[in-house]
Amino acid sequence: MPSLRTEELILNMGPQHPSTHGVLRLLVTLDGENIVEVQPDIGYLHSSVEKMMEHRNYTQNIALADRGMDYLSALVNEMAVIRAAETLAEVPVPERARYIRTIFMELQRLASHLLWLGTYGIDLGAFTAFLWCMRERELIMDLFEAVTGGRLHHVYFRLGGVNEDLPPGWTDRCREFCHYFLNRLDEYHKLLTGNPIWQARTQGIGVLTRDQAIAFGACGPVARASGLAWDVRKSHPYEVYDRVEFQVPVYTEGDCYARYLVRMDEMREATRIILQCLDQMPPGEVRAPRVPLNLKVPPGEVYTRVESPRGDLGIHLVSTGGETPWRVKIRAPSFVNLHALTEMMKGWKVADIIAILGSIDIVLADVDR
Amino acid sequence: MTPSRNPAGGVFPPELAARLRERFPQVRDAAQAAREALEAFEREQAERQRRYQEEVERAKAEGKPAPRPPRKEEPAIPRYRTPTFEVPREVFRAVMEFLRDDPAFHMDYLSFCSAIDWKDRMECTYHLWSTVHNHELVVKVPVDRQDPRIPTVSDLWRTAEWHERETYDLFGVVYEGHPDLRRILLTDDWKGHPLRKDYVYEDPDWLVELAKLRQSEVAGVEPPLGERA
Repeated sequence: MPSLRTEELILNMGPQHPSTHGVLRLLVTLDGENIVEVQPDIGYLHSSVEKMMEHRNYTQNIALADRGMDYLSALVNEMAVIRAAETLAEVPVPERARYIRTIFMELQRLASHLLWLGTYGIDLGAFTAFLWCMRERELIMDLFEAVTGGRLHHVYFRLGGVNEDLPPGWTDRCREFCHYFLNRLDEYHKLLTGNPIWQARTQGIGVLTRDQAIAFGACGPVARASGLAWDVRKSHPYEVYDRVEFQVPVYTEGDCYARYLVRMDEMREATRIILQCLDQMPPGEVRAPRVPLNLKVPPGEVYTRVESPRGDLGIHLVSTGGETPWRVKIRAPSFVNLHALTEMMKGWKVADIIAILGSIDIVLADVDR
Repeated sequence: MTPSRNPAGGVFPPELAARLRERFPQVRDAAQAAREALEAFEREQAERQRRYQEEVERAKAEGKPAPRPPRKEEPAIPRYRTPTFEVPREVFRAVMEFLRDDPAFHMDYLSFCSAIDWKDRMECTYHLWSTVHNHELVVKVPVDRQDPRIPTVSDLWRTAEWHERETYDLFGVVYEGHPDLRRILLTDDWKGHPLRKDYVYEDPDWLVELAKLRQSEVAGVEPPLGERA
């Protein structure tokens, strides 16, 4: 029997493609329907945030981190910049501000995971999930808007605290939302977790082993779905994460379904953290007095990290003692997770590209910075 | 009101730092050196304060006006909140392999690698973390700024593949032995390396030329707005 002549085909996906969640170009080498190699082509959203930060003072950099990096977790970005500067300058922070920051970061995590779940549902053809997730996300946006005035970009955190205290009645509404949301979360599970189509599209697909996850520096839900029990909130606690009880969900399968389950569990834990913070939060000041807006950070270097919804967001801050940093290195979680994608994709089918890409939850502004 | 805790991992275990220095005497513990310098500075300040008190006492005894207090000085010593080691380029590969493979260190996770441009010199930075022991450190390697070259570590940690490409793109550091060293964020025909301190912000000549070319192309195809019928 004469053998068929076959050759590899290069499929160009993106940069404008509805399922790449931004401007990402994938060069996919195919052997028939099997993926041989994937080369992501990035940089379409590069705005050189690191260079811009060198020419702005630390307060201005809060607003820049908000916009120039991962725009779906703006408050966590603010925290990353502030944590580096506050650690180096030893800025005191009132207790109440620490609790408020924690509540807002967890609300941000909920909003980010909800948007991910909705769009991932659309990627895999489950449209209802998107509508439900947007419904709940809107309530979080309302909570943000009541305090910060913004829905996506807040510029709410300040060096030494937060901009202003919570308005009257906000904590009750937040608590109300948490209880409401826990019920909705059960609904999501009913809608998707046991759904045979959902399972067929995600279970056993795009497996990343624990060793590969460590070698590629994968972080956040991607690493936790591969069995690496690591959360910055536990390993390097900041704000009040060492005073609240929460679990770090870990799965060992390393497939898309495990990454989905990790995020679903994280939403439950985030709600738990918010409720505990609301109970523990003391009254008092929310901003340390005498922290100037153009704070001079003493010369030195520090590497701090926070747990963004996408993983370990690190800032390497180098100061020479001026009002502006000398060098800021942003270690973006999406950047390393996208690199791990090249390993996850190998050997799977064309139809799995979207399922695997969606499951790592990248934000291209975070990748390119 | 609580002062900001030091959540950055704190001090590197001293016995491990000693172990590294014993194996590689060329390695300098920058964080330890900075701590010692700060202590010396504080001792000096205390000594000045003590001498000033003596002068005050003496002036009081002699009935003279009290002398002026010494000016308060801020030390210009950099503080390293994350354990930092300076490694010469010659032993760099050996140190990195040792840090990864030695069971006491077991630094199996590379968070990032990047560079710092100090205008007179360039420093390559690496942040390592151990998933087993949860300790972290920063490795800094000084390289020649005019011709920055350093061996790659992408065969030790695959994370470095993209991070080294990014550093090559933005700083121009050449990683010897990297499997695929090309620009990652900027376009292939970009001139210069933007994160260097001497990078010129203004549009470079070639970009201006290109813009003029595009404009003339457009002008040739379409008449200007005012001339349209």
